[in-house]
Amino acid sequence: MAEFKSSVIDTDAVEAVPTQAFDVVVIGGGPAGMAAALAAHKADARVAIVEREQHLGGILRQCIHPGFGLSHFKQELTGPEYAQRFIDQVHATDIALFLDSMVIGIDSGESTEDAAVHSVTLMSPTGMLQLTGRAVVLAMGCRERTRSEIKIPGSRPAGVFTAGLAQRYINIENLKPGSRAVILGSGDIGLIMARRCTLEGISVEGVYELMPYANGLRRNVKNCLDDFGIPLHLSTTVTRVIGHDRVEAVEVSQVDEHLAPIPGTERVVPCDTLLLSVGLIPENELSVAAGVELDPRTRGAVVDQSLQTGVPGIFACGNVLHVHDLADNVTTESERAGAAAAAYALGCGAGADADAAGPGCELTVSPAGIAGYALPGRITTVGLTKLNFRVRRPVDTARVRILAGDKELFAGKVRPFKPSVMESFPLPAKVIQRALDLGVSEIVLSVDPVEEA
Amino acid sequence: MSTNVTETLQFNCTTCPSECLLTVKVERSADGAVVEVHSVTGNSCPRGYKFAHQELTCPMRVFTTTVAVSSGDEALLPVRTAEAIPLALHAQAMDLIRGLTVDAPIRMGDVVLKNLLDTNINLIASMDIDPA
Amino acid sequence: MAETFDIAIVGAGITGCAIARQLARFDLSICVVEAANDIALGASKANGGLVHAGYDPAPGTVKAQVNARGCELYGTWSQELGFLFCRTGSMVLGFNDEDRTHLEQLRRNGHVNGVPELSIVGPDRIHELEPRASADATCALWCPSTGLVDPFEVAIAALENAVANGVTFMRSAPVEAIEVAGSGDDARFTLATPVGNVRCRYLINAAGNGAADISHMAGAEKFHMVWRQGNIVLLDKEPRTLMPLYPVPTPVSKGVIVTGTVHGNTVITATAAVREAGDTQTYASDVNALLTGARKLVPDLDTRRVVRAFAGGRPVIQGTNDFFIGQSAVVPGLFQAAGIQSPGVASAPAIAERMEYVIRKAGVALRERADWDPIRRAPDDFDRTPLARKEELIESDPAWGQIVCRCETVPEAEIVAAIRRRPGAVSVEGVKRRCRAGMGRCQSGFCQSRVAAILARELGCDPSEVLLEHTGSWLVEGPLKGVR
Repeated sequence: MAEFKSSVIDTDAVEAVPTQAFDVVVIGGGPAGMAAALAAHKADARVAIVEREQHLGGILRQCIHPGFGLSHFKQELTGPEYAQRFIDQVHATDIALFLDSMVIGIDSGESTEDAAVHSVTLMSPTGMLQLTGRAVVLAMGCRERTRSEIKIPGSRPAGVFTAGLAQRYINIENLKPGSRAVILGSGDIGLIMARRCTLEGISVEGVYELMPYANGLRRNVKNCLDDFGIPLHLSTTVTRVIGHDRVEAVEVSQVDEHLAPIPGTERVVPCDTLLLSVGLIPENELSVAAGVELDPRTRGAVVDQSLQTGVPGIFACGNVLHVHDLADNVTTESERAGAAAAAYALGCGAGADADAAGPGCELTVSPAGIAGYALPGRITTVGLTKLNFRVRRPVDTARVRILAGDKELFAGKVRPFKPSVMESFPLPAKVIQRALDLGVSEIVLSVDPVEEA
Repeated sequence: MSTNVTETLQFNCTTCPSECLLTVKVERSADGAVVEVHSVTGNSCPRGYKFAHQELTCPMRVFTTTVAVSSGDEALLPVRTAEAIPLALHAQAMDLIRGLTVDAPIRMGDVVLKNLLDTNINLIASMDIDPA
Repeated sequence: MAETFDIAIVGAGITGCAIARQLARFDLSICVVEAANDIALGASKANGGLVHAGYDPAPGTVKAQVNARGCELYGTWSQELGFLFCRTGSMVLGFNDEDRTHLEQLRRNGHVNGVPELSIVGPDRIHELEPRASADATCALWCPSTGLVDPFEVAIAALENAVANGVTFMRSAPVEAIEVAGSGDDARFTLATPVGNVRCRYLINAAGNGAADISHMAGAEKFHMVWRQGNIVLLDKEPRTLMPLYPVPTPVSKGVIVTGTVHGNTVITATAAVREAGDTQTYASDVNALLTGARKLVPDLDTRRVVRAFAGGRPVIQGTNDFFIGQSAVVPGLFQAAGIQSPGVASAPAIAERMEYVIRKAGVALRERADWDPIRRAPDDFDRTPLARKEELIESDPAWGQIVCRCETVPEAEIVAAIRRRPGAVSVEGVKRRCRAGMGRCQSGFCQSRVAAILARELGCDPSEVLLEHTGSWLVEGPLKGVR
């Protein structure tokens, strides 16, 4: 049923579109894209950034609160300041900028032998354009999980906003989305918006959280809720939206240990606005269309230690790869991706790797225990490898273990773990070598709670 | 002094991403004023100790909001205080800023309001705004 | 004094719009009177978009007469009106011998009802036709004539064509009272609405769930509507569009159906529960029933990818499961198109055709207009447009290159066109129904504020006056800064 296909890219027509050649094409001009582009530029690659908005900066432009830059710049910056520092750096280079431009497809060509040249087709008010590059960096970020995805029943009136949309109305559009808000979800955006609404004269009736613990960073619970006396209701969720035209109230219910609403605990909370901060999802429709395989756990690409996806020459970083806790960590990761992409593009061959230290190998990495995911999912070089993971629930005492078959290759120290924190763990080359010596094809990153002695 | 109360509080330090959980023993007078901080534990660096003292006497926060922009390519300018100001002043600062309008172009770091509410701290632009 | 129309049609759902389009070819002045502020906001809105083939209704019923005919007419209607229609065919899946007996019965029904090319097929053919159909299915009724449409698009296209041919559209005009003069009076009916009275010689009741009220107001047949509520779930797009798969029907409904849509999404439709009139809430139990039911037909369906869950009421006349199409026996000059529940979308073109027949038979003079244009030029659908045309469009107006809705690739110019067409969109949801901005997986999280700004600009109103949907569905209050 070919007639159902949307965004049809007609190959013949694409050939007629004007083309510009680069070494590295970065898709996305947020913190990930800018850091990747700058790193690739530093490695002497010819770099382009494609950004769908008219400004660089991505979502940081609306994250006007402080809390950025503590690790990267060793000082506390707001989101726009953090972005502006990178924007200024990008402007100081000859990185080509394609703003107001929407990528409609990535075509990876026929060749599988050599490093293929990827073509990125984009569209803007000035027309269609094709950018070619040996390497492409995916840095499109993420979107917010919607009301429908978490299946909140009830009516469908105006006044139900994802927290990020409300943030856009308040911080960018200068519009007040309502007067009396309930916030579902104690993720960082939900907490930040609780404070933001309060300061802007929107009364926040409470923040409701399905889980028995707050999902955001501790600093945000303290600075956004405690500072303003906003109640946080744990193990409670919204079970019905009420109101035909505009939200009039929401029904909240307590949930049991299986997260199912407990009948009889329903309570109606009058409000005109419901903000949802119920998770972020990497936006990978473009990646999938380019043939990139996704990890069902992260919903981002499966990558190797240099952040290269399964499609040679296509790299991924930032929130399109996995949802990060801090922009600073996005920057660090994206610099790696940008450097690796440049090395790949300039080295012109498969396997040319930024930290191309050791010999090649082929290992997969899987999460176990309370680790929700492990990244990278593949290791193709025996060398120091940075592993990232998040735990699925908070624990006071647990340790990271690296397993190969029934052998424990490494055990970390016992410490607390929180789901709000994206953990980072350096995997030494010798541990990878030991796994290979054992003849396994998979290593397991397991986070296991331990009884306190 | 028999009316003084000694209590133990727990809160996170927000100075750096480590977010150490501080346990603080504090003695307060009958009217709630802090008489003496007896001990701070749980901090992994001296900044935690300093943070706990400040938090109990006069919590300080960087204040951020937006200011209306005229003739810019954005409707709002994000602004911040150059340093933390007393948390107790944030609501008052909002009232002051609500009616304010600034003209584009604006560069990051430009002073939007000098000496905000007599704190000796300036309100500064968080971002560049170009003319429309 | 206001104009007296020859015909007023109450209700701009898919039925009323189809009738308006059908009658616009004649030398008649016609007015469509709609309670809501836009087209297809009632039962037509809560619909899975299936053009059922017509093997389902009991032979001899009105439904049986209009369903297969409607399905057939969609071929020409889609060509003339420029809406998406895909005759995908469908299967009713059977899992045991008892089901097979039912399928045989459906096949015989279909044969009597005039449904072409029905056959019973076995597992090999089932998986050839739809590889994702459950491997447990042992037999299926294969029906090649079933099709898919976007029900909003059908109603909008029909009314656009009617309006282009001179039909008047009055929105936000709920009929509050109907005055009926003597049968010889030139203006036999006067409809009182908050936006003014509408006078007409003939009245067509296509008011969907409000049809009983209209009939009562006019002093015609007394009947009651039952709100047979259905929840529907829309899933994200799939690499390959699913063929419609039905379970063996129950006495009251077709059961939980899984189908692709013309836009490549998957829809699970619909539950059936009698609920309080006007209840458009979704229910956790219904949504779970849909997801469970769907997995029986398509076991590998990723039911986490819900884009939207929604609900509406099918306008069922109490005591009958059939449509009521004909001249009122009590009030001559009033024509009823009531009880248009499922398969209302599939039947719409044939209901319109039948209405023409009914009013002609009642003696209304129907003279064809020389200048009638059956063709509606569809707006450019940027996402589906070939690349060369995309470039042409951007060259003609840069706003075609300014993508507002990233999930569905909808540029600003397409949104502007949706607002400027006649009848145009007046709300964020109205824009969505016309050009799909906000229809995708992010559910307008990224584009709502931009669509709202375009609406405010085009309608010349303040952002605080922009509506999500109905009157009262305000999106934002007003500015936060720069105000005293």
